[in-house]
Amino acid sequence: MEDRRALLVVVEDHVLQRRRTVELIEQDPRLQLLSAHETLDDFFATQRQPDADRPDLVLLDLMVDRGPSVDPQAVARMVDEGILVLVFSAMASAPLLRAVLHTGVAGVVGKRDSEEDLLVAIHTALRHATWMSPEAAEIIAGDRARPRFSGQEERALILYASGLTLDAVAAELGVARETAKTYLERVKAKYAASGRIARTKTELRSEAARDQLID
Amino acid sequence: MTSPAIAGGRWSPLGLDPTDSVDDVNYRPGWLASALIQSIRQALLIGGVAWQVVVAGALLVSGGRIPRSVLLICLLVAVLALAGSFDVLPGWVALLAVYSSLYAYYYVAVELNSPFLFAVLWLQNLWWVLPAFVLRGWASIATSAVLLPALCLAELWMHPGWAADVPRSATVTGVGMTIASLIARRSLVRYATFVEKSAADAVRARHRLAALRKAALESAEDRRILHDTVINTLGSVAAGRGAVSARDLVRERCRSDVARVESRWAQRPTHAPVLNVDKWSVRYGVQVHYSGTPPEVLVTVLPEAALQALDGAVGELVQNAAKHSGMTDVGVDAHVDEKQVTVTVHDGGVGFDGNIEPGRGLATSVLARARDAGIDASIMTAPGQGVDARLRWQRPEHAELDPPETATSLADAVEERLGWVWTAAVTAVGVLIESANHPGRLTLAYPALALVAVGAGLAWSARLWPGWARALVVVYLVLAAPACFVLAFGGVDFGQSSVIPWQAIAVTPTLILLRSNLHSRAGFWWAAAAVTTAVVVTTVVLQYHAQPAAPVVVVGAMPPLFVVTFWYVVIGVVRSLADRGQEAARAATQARAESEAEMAIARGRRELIDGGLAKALELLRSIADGSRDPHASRVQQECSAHESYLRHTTLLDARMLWLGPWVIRAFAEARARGIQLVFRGGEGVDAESADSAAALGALVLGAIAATPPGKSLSVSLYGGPKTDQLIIVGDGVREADLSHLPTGDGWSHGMQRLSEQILIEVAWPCVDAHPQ
Repeated sequence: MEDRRALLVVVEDHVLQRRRTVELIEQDPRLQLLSAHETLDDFFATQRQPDADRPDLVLLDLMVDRGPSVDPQAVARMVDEGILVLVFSAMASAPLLRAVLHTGVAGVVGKRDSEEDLLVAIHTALRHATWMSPEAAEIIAGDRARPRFSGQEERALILYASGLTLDAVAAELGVARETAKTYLERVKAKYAASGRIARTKTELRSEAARDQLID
Repeated sequence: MTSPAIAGGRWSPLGLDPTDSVDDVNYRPGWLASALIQSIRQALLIGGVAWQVVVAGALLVSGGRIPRSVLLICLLVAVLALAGSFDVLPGWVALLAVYSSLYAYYYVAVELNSPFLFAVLWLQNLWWVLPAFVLRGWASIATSAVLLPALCLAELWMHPGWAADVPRSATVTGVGMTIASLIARRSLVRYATFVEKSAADAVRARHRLAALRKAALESAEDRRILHDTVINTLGSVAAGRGAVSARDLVRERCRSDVARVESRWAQRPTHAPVLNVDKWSVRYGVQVHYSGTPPEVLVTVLPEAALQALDGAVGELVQNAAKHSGMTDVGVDAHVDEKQVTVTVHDGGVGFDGNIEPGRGLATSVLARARDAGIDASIMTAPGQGVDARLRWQRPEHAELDPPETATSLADAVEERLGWVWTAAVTAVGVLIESANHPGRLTLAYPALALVAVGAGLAWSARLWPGWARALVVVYLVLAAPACFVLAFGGVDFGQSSVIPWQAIAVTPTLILLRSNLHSRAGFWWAAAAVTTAVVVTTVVLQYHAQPAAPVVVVGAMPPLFVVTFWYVVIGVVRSLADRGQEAARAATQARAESEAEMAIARGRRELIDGGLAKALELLRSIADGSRDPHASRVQQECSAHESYLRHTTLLDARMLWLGPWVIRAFAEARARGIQLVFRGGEGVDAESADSAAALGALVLGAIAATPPGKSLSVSLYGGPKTDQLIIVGDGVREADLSHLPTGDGWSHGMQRLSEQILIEVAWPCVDAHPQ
């Protein structure tokens, strides 16, 4: 990854949002824009070309104007093929976001998050770590059927989702900032694993983590 | 004892659900009454099968003078009655089979005072109930009118030497049973119709709620379009930089978003905004100042009719002030609390003498209009003192979950009415038979009937008596039951001379009064045990003294057993329907309440969105036509504020029945104070009740009041397995200005400052966690 710039695809139907995202990616020397598309189908169409480059990460908007929203199964196929998917969403539909979270996406970043947060989220995902915006935390925390978290994880999730800064969450929990961040990453990992897909070693490990067999 | 019931028009032990039939597209009104009558007919015909066993048993103990081949008739009739009960044969075929068998039984009967004839006569007596439940209307009366004299004539023709008291008793009993059965049928049909109506109401209310939720999905599509267009565009402009680098592209996008949303919104039914002071200011040429609870909140509280009446009345008052007060400013103030909505309109003008002429001006346009919609209206004024008008709408105390007449109360009434009718019929018919059969003789049957009559009088009076007195009446009836049995048997000399006119069912009213009129289960079972003991003791004593009447006592115990069993079956069905009817009525009321609440919240949310959307579209329009620059930081800030407001209001959950109106009010107040409110509602999270919602709402409103303008405040609801949580996070919130944290049974709360942020947490037991 250090040898070359990461190849990114942007799927975003809103032209102004797309321009903003493309500009941000182009300004980052570690990232390279492979292509930008209005819909996921457009992206799949380019991928079917024989000489198509495979992206490292797809920055994906879930809602499409004048068309159906993104199909979680299509996202699951991308994830299965080893493409990192970072959801970039206004989070207007909590059920859709939850369904996509079950597919094992790399993270969720909100459209109203800062540009810095968007870039940090992209780089976090490229390191195969998870990223969760406060809004995504809210969607998870608002789900009564959320996976079983440890006491600290649940508390960190709810406080973060309620609007506290990461520093304030850490202060409230009496832990270091990094520890609070770790709690939130575990929460994200457990939630992504709650789809109970356990076909690979990694997925099995996640399932075990959900049941708190391992940490 | 299980209740017979019918599901889908067929016999089923699973119970009868009136709502099943109403849900059916092929629903026929009156289905439930038909099903109820059919279930009683089935019970009677199965009773007819069982009575053939009694007749066969009586035949076997009656000696060898009756041919055993009669047993085949018993078997045939039993098979036909059974086939009729399962609808293999029409009910009238089974009815004719039962009555045809009577001719055969009379024909082979040899002795007047035999257990066999006694059993046959009671088959005849009891089954006069059958026509009312097998045939309809006049057909049932005509059948009884034909069969009754025909049977009596046949008996006289076959056995001219027998005493005349047999056909006489049979006739009087038959007439009494026919009348009682017709009254019972009528009561049961009326009752079933009521329950069916409750069920139909419940289904209609459920359908309405479903339609409402379907409409909410349409509304969700509107919100999705808003997100994809206006909200995203506002967010992009707010982000600035690359998103707005191409001005032409931004303007084109703004133009297309405005056109798209306006065309979509134009398709919706229009709903004129209420208490629109801007409109009144322009129309009437006065400055109208609005204060207090925003109109967006009023629409979530007031029903539609009251809302429209209030809007019209306030408009008239503003117009009146503009015309007559001589002032240029009019004040309108609205206030909502847990009990009422109060709107006052005041001007400081010339006023008047307070004399409002009926039928004209304010009397019609304000007072009458308001009162017609359930709003109290009063006008206080005096010359030189201005006009102060007050309009007050009071909230209903609580949602009425129990309709005034419930299936249960009606079931009680039906059960009691049938109890009185049966008691009156047995007593009246008994006196008639006794006086006809034993003219001028005071037999022991009279004291038996007197015990019943006194018991009925006591039970009637006991409705108004205290518990201990009712207990004494229960004791009386428990003791009267075996006494009745023994005395009624004594009326026929304990079987020593003639047993045929034995009024064996004289005992039944005591048991039925205990069960259905005094509602004493224990008393009923004690009385049943006492009667059983009396039967056993009487039989043993007669057997010990070698009296031939011993088998007759056992046969004589059968009519009361059949009557009381049948009673239990019918009342069981009625009670089962009552439970379901009550459940249906509650479901209907609940669905109606939910519909109204959801409609009110949806209306409020729409007001909020429409209000914010109008201003957002105005901003986008100004960007589109070039009058405002998307690069300007002021424009970007405005876009950011509009984006946040619209995004959060569109995500409000209309099913948040208790907290919904408070959240809408919070948005309205935050907007008025220039505070950016972020609301996050957990799915299915709500307050426990109106009171707890009011406490939580007051806390949120207090936090908004304690937040400096320009700051942001986050309010989140989370659902857990045992408790739900409200968490408020705010920047720069003045702790001293916060209201007290709400408390309650099982509630907990906390507040602390974390750097610049303040954290308030309140938890309460979630509804699902309450013990049932």
